[in-house]
Amino acid sequence: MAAPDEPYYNLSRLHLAFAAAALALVVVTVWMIAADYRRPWKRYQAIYRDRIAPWAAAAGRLQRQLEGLAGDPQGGDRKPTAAAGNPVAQAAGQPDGPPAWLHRPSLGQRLLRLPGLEALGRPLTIEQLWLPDLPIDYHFRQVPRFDRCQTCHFGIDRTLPGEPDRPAWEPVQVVQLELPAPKVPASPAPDGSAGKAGGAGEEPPYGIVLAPSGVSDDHVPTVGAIWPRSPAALGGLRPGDAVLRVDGMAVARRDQAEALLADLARQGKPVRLEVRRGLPQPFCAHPRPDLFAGEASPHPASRFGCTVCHDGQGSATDFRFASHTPNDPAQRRRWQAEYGWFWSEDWEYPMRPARFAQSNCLKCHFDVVDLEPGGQFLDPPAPKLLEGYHLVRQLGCFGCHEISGFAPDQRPVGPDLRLEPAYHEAAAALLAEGYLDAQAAELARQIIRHPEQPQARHELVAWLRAQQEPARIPAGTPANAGRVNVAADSPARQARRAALLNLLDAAPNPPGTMRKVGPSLRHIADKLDAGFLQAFVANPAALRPGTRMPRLFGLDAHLQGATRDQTHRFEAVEVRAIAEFLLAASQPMDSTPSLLAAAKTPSASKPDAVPPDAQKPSAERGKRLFQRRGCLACHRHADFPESKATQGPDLTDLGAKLRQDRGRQWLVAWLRDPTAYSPRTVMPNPLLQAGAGSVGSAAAEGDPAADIAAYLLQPRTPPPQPLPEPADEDLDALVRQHLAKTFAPPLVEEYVRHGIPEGSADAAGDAVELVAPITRAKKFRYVGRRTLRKRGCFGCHEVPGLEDAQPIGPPLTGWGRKQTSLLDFGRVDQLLALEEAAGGDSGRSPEAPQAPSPAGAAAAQAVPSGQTAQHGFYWEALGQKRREGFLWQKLRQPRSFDFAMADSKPFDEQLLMGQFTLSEAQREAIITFVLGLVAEPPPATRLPQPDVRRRAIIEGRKVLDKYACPACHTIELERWTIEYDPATFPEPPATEDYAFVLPRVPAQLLAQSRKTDLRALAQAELVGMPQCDAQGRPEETEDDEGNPAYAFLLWEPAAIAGKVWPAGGPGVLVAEKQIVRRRPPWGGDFARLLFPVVLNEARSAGSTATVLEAWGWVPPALVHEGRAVQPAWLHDYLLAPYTIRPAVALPMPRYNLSAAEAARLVDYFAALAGADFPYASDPRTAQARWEQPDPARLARYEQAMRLVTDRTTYCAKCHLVGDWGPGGQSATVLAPNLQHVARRLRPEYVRRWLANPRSVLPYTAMPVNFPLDKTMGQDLLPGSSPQQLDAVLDLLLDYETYLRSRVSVRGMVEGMPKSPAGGPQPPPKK
Amino acid sequence: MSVTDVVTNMAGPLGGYHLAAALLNGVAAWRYWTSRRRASAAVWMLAAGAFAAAAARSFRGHPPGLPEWLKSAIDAAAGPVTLSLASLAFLALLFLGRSWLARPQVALAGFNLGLAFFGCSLPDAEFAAVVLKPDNVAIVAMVFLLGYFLWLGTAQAVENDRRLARGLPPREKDFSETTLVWPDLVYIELIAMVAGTAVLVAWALVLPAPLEQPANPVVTPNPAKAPWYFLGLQELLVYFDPWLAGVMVPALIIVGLAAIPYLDPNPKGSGYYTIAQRKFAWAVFLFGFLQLWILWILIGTFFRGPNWSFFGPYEPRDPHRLAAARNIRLCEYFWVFLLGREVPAADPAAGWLARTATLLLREWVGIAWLGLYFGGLPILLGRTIFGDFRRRMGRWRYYAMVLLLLMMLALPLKMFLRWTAGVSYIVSFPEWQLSF
Repeated sequence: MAAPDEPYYNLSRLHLAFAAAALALVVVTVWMIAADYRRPWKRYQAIYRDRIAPWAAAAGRLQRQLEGLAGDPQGGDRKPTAAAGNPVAQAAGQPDGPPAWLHRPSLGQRLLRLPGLEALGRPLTIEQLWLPDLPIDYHFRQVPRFDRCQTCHFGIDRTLPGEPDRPAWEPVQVVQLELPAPKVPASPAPDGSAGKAGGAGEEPPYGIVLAPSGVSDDHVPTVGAIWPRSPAALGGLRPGDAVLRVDGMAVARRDQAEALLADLARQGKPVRLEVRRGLPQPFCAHPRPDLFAGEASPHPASRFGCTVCHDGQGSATDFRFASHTPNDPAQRRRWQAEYGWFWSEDWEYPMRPARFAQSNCLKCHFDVVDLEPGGQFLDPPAPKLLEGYHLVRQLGCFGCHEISGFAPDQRPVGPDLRLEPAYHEAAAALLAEGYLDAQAAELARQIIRHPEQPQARHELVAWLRAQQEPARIPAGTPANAGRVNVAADSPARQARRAALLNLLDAAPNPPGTMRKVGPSLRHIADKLDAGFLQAFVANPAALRPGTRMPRLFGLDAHLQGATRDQTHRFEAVEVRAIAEFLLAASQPMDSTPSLLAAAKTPSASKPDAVPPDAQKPSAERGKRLFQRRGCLACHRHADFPESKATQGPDLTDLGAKLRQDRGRQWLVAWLRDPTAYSPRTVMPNPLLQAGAGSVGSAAAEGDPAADIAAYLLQPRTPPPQPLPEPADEDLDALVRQHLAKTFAPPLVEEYVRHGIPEGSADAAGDAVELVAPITRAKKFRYVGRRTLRKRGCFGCHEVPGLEDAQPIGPPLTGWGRKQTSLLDFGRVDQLLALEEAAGGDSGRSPEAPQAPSPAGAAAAQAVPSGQTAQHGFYWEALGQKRREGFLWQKLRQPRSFDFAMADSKPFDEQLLMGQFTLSEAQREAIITFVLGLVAEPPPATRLPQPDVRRRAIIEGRKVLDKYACPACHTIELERWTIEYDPATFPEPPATEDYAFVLPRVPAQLLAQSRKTDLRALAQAELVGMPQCDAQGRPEETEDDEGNPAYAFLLWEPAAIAGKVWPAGGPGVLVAEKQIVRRRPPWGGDFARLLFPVVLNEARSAGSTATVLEAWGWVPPALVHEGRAVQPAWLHDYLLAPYTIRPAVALPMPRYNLSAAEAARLVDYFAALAGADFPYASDPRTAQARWEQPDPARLARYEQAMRLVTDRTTYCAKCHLVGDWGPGGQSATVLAPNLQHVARRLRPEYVRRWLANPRSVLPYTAMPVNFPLDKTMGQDLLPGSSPQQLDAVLDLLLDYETYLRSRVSVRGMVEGMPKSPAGGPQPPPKK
Repeated sequence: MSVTDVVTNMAGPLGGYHLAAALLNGVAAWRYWTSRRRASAAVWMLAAGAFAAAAARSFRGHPPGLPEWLKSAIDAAAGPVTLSLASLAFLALLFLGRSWLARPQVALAGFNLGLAFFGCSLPDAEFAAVVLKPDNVAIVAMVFLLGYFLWLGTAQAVENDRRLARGLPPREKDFSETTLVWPDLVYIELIAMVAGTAVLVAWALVLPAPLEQPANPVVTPNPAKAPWYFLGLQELLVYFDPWLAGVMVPALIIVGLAAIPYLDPNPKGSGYYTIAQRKFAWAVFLFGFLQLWILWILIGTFFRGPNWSFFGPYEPRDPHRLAAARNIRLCEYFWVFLLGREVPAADPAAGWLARTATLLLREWVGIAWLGLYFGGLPILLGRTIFGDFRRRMGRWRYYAMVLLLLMMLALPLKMFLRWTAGVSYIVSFPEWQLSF
């Protein structure tokens, strides 16, 4: 066929189509370039580089020039001398003046920023941090992390010049300021250019120099610099503040603001300013640059990047793709509108929302307590995380959910909160079930007392092994008589034995350290009756508000219809069954039977010493003892609302729990020795001996334990209503359900009807309860045992028979990264929708009682405003199926994930987690902690590397938390930051003292204390305590000008105005307005609580002691403990405390500590005080010195002893010396026995103490006995004061040698009845 | 994202969507008005008005949506059976009513209905989530493009058929069979290239590719979906042994397609669109393409959710939704339900011959059915309705054709059996990893 001449298509239409297509291509190409050109990071970076950074530099220069011009801050000519070169004139007077406030890009730079040309010059670049040693987990592959966050967050690590802990720009906020009236009204300028502050370079109105341009906006009047000591400086204005309103009037332009200010200044009025301070994201700097991002901080941005802490997609340069996570729905809406934010599921590590920012601290800070404020970081670095940690610790989450700090390969990956091995439980079970002979039983008892010591355990394991081998038991021999016949045991019993043996033999490495948080239930029948036990199990918080025990039954808000009914019926059976089993399985307290016996007959304890009428327990005395003997340090009671302690349970209305005689006997026995009942309790033995340690009162009345019990058991509420009897068919149904897990259907039916034949191999494990003949009680016991196992009760309590049960919850190690697809959200969204429909955005379902906080944080935190917003966050998180939402709902309504699902599940497959009473803030704290359990630690080199001292503090801190030592003892003192004018601050009184007492303060610190800021004020830090009144409140006085002021007692020397104020001197008078900040002391709450009580008591008993001295009667502050005492002594003391100061109102209780824990505490105190540890050696206390006494020295001792034993002026006036006591003194003035000084105290400390006691302990009543400027006591001990001091010191440190020189054993043997020959003359005893 | 969010976010774009639809109808109305077809113009003006009203409502933040009862009705009705039957009905309508369907106004009406349905469904969060997923945008476009080209082909075929009926040659024969390389070929290729590039760039700008995370070999997404063009095959995996669905069927598809030129006895319809002259070929092709390929892709894309469960277009994708699975082997139907006996089980101790015999006994009903289907049916068909083919094609070509055809038909038949009677396998030898 011939080729056509004409084209098939109409050419002009083709041209048209081509033109259109080509045009479209051009348009999209331009669009593409524009889209690239308009990428937001370029704009952000241009703003920072061209405006913010040059502006800040110019402002800084101007400010420095101004400060230089203002001259010496101590006074002198404040006015700049030369008008020429006056920076104010240059900067402010001439708006177009030379200092470059903004960067004007050159033509070339501008050209290079044009679209398309950018690629050539790149004045704006993507800032990228390459972090190969902080890799990111790309699933089976660790890939170097690279963060481009600083592409937009350009100024994130910038700090103020010369101040590495202050951010260059804070996050934006509006601040109201009050500037005082200018002292000298600015004289009207002759040329009428009011307020331009030009010509003569005089101070502009209020000292505000406005910059020629705003930081981010040209016209906004912005403070460029502040004239020192001007009203602006005093009012707290800062360079960079944008003035929004002057005296309520909005100002938009610079000249407007200037005119207004000048006008007001002429009238000499104070002025109110509303300023916008800081910059919005992404321009502002990281908060807390002392901790994060700043180059001088522990986490500089250049080494750590951003995403290792914050998560998020570091490689993104677009807001949307960086996986920012909004903190609440309001922020989400704003982000959606502003940035087109969306919830991306494409990145597994979305950024932590601000509320969980602290989570990732756990990635490296496995010890958690190293995040407690202290050391150089006095502001808490991660308070929410810490609260979560303490809640998890106190609520015992680890009982069900393993929180292991170690990966399978033993690498540390996170905080380790594992339960300790159940050695003591296994030992107790072996003991109770009669597997042991007398010798082995003794080993078992040792294990129960000290499970951490391996020796007894190894011996017992060896013994058990030997028993297991039948060949080694000579049958029928007499030696076998006392032995347990293993071969005769039933198979079930043998299996049980083997299980317990395994438990004893297990050696996890390293072993867990957490004790179960609940009390042991092994002897529960000695304590509770069935009625209370059932009611308590059914709903703990109803009977004991504030209990930490979660609610496990009756959580039915998510159930409907028949399922709900069935659950109610079955749960009633389970509650009853638990009580039946526990009471049946309870064993009598055998380890210290005498305790119970003694408790039964209180009069038997001290029949002879106590007059008969005092023997009757008295609730009145008990109340006093309860308050005085330290109970309130850990427990609360409604009678003493001032105690906020949370370590132990609230003891109000204990009478409702412990009923009748049994309860009282138990409580008395418990108070005498808590470990007899619950071997692993952290409750110390309060060492309640009759009549000991009472201040100023005649003491010796009754039995304190019985008295306290009488007080606590005063009836308040009626007993709980008995629960209805569960139906038999429900009981049988549950028995069947449980049996069906192990046995075939016909067998199940057989066993339910007739029980398991005795001796059958089936009667093992829990089924052992069902041995024929079957009874209703046996069925209950079986169900009870199964229920305890199913519901994981053994996670918190020691349960007899369940020693080897495995925790029921999923482990939390690595939960923070758990695949969300593994979380079963069920139909919870539907439940929430119902809740929402019911108007329940309050988030309070009937399930969540509004009870006050149980465990943690004292105040039942007022739920922060914007509660709805807070819930909104979690609701959205639930909708997006995120972990945060899951966790929140799990803690709030733990079983709600069963909503609409429970109908299709058998009863025993329903969810089990119990509901804890938690406030919203506590819930969030726990979530913060759990989200941080990511188990992906950075390389070991990047983990915190505490030095020996720091490590000791961390380890000790854990022990401190465990036993709540800070409840009584102050560990860190109050700290006040004061601001003062160095010119007018009074000087410290001149004192003359021993060289070793004089405080040493580095010259640098002294110089710094003279340095003043713009307001001509300097700052100082005072450590110590304010002087108190008799109520223990800071005593208010007046300073010279009649302003309210406080006298502050320094415990550490302070540098104020270039002068050193020594510790223990007269108080520093601090005016109320000088105080910038008060940091409360840490610890000692109970001591402060007790202080007014003992003081008033002593006063009413006629004591004349000063208010200050009364601090010596309450548990002492331990701030210098490490410097004061010898490690070996402290260690022994902690394990077996005794009375040191007879004046102290309560003795130190004996804690259930292991020796290792005591050692950790010893190291802790030494490290805290900066003393040598673990051993302190001093030749003056060395053994050698005792061995070779030198006669001359002994002679000198003789003289010193005269002084020591002088009862009119010197030591023996107050101190005991050996058995030599000051007679006729009330206990309040009795001081420690000097006999123990050599072993107890460090020599350096004693020397200092003798020289100037108050410099060590400001409240002490001990006088200065050897003043440097006087010589006294020459008749007793001749010599100058330093010589006297040395002699006494030597004697005290060598008391043993001295004694031995005076007492010879031979003399004692030969002259039997005589008193120690030639010893210090014993005081005539009455 | 909550429903409110979807509505607020989509209101603006939806307004534009409705406005564009209104403009389209306006243009149509104007065209009809100028060509003096006033009634039609009025109808399209009305449609334009309706879309304009919808646009106005959308711009005010209240885009019109489908009523809840309709949505639940659609959700309830939606299911593989309904969809398959609906698509069959559509095919029948396309065939029987083709001359009516080919009219531009009907097409426009259909297009408008599609636009309205799509536009009114978008405010639904679940619908939007599936349809607007960037991966699925191409498939939505495909639905509209497919509709257009289907209509275009049908319209041209209808026109040709009319011409042929009147004794005229088809439209394509009016033109020379050769064209100029320039401009008729190269120029339009260039235009297509430029336009295609523009569309791709614009697409990339509107839907930028996200930075995703690295694959995690231990986590399988739920549902795990193949690329969209393989979703049809993936759908088959639900019903057939993987060997069959993954290997045999795709191989047969390729073989069958390659065999078409050799199997096609009809010399007509070469080089032009026609339906009347190639009814069998047309029906088989469209059945294979629309019913067995496109429909399954659409089901896989839009209707399959977590656990590969079937979800209505407005139904929340609930991973915990329980679906009663009824999978009963045909042999169980026979032995258990019909005879009330236990399914014969091979004694593992017996010899292989005995075991094989037991297995064959167990499955004999299925084997018989398969034998009838693939053995008896071709002969029966050859004797009856396919007699003409049998004659014209000769024995081997006929059997090849009819076996391929039966194989093709077997796929939907088996699927219907599963959907309706819960038949998992007709013949099942798990012992030999062989099932059908």
